[in-house]
Amino acid sequence: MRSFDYAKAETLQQALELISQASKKYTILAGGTDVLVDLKNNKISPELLIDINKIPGLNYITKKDDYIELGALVTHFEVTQSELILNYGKILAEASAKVGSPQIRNMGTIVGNVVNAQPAADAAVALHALNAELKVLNGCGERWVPVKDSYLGLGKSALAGQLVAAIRFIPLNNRQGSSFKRIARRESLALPILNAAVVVQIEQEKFEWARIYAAPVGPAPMKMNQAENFLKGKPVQDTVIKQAAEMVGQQAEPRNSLFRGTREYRKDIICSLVEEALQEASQEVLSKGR
Amino acid sequence: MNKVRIGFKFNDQDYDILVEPNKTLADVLREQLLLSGTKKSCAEGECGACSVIVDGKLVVSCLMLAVSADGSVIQTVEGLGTAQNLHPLQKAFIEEGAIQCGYCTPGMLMAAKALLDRIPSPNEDQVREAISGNLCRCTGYNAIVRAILKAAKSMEAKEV
Repeated sequence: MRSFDYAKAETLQQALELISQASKKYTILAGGTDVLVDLKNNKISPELLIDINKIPGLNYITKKDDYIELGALVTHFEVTQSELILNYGKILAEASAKVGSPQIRNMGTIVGNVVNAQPAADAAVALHALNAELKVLNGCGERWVPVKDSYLGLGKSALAGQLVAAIRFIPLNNRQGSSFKRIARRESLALPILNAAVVVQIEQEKFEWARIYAAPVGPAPMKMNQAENFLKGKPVQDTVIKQAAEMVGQQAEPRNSLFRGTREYRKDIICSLVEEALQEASQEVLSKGR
Repeated sequence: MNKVRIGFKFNDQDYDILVEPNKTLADVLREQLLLSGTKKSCAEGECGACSVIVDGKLVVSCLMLAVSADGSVIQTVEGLGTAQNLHPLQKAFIEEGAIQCGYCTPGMLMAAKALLDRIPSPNEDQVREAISGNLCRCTGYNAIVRAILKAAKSMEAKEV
């Protein structure tokens, strides 16, 4: 690994000062599961590493005002163990449970999963379906940025020069169901071939709306709006769900990939994944008697 | 590059050392502290051979900078047991034939320890999940799973 200067931030304020004073290329270090790999491969070569792991008070998962809010250092493992997430955002727990391995889940943060801006990052895809927002700090103050606006392109985050302190989403209620489906070469230690993340709202056995995200079928998790629009007002029936899933296959634009399979294969499989996810999310609501 | 002073508790001993920031915990354990029990295999977090327990959590030490371990409590295989006084996990691994080349073994033992610390009586699914971040090219995993279940039972028996 190339050498670099190392600074440990004790507070968010200090981290921001380090960022604004940095006259050289810097990288923020949290869980390290992406940063260390990139450092070893020389994919990044910062002159300064700003370690935020010891900033207190960033491990929280709380229900705050009308949101479920998670601090920037919350790990995938913590998400899978949280009652709040299981009750109000189960799709995120399903996604985090698939990341890497137990070791990776103990170290990696969900905020890191988003800011790394990889197209199929499991937690990030689920957070898109939850319409999550990132709390972004810079010298001027703080603002909330929708996760989908943070992706500028493959690996490029719109958040350079800033610091993410938290992430939040509106808790899912009894009329809403969610599901995360993934296909990969192995059950563990495997990057996803395809992810599907679905949140639906159902009233009187009809879809009020659906949020369908598929990845990687483009540079960022892709909102499958054709299928979403189709489902509005439609009855929750197998044929309707199948039709929506087929529209996803038509809208998806995956490339041929040596690792992930051909374009045709993935356009086909994403339909099945979305169909399964829609079924599961719908059943979740219907079984509550709506 | 300036060296950074870090302090940590390691296998029940207090340490205070100077490390370079660009050294991983795996490298510092092996090359600076000369504790080669922790193995380096893929060096990119994909095989689990370097697994150690930091602050009660199983981690891959090849993806952790040593400087990040400042103030932490670290457990490695060296602290698990000795030749004269084997940990029940080590005993069970030997008895069940769960060691062939031995390269995955320290990582597997730490994954098992981390599991049993959290879930003293795991079922088979929980054991398989706990070691799902540790690759073994020799045994086919079944002997390892049996060994961990056996150790759990024997440790439970001792508690009673």
